[in-house]
Amino acid sequence: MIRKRELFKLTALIVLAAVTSGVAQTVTGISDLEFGDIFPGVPNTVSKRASSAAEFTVTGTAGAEVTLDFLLPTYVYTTGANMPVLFSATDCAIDSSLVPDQSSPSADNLNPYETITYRLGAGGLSVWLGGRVIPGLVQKSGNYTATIRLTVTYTGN
Amino acid sequence: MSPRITLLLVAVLLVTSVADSTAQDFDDRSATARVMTVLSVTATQDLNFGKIFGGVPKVMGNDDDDSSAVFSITGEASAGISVQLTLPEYLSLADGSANMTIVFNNSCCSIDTIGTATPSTVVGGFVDIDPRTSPSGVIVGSGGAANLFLGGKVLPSANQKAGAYSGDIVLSVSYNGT
Repeated sequence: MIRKRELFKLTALIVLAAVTSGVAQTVTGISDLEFGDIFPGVPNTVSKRASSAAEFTVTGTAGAEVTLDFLLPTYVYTTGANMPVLFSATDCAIDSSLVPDQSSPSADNLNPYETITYRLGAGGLSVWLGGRVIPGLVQKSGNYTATIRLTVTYTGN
Repeated sequence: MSPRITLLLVAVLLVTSVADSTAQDFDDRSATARVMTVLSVTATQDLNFGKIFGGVPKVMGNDDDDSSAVFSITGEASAGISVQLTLPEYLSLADGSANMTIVFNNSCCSIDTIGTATPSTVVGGFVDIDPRTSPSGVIVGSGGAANLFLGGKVLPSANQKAGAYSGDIVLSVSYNGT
């Protein structure tokens, strides 16, 4: 049987553990996925290595495990028209280095449609995303846009 | 359970609750693109050989304002395009009862990349080129237009059946991404 004092100690440890694991994970969108000028009928791909790739950063406790989940659009939109946007199974890359290197990330060719599990580095995580748009031959001219959402969840591991 | 233990358990629950509420975060960015003007091509003037006499070939140049074929192209100003002509080998009577040979030499096409020229006034772009090739560097003019002019030659036989002959000349244009 646990004595009262020991119970207090145990409770205090639980409280401490909860506080420690409760450090917030923060994700911040740094840059858009920019396809630039697109010609009707000419598909365009932006590499995850490119400066025009989408970029997010994640901050939090170094060594903490997180899951990354993208909510990706199927189309980009302008008034009265849409255009398919595609993401391949290798369009995402992440780097947990203190100085993130987009050209040589620590985890490469990741599938943005699947949950990605990774541990934060000392500098958190940098996440890059490429993609491809497929304009039709008579694609309506204009500025197209859609939202890319990245959700980061602390796993407790 | 003593009040002290109860308080501690409540504290644990509260902290756990706080931890859960901060364990997830999201942010949004955008995918953006700017789609340029749709490319279009219109046949604005037929290649017209006029009256032909049996056994007498007739040439129509690419510089005849009234009779050269004219295709007008519109699109994004200064954008690179590919052009591809599909040329007939024969002209035919409407009922298909007779054909007449048509040929295109390797200098019977001109492309105006300024967008304002007529067949007789082409100076910019590509002058007297082979219509079977798709030259590199063709662009839509700075005003959003370009033109293609085409001549040709018909070779009627000595006993060519009388009538109005025609054949399709097809120009396909597409952006090349430059």
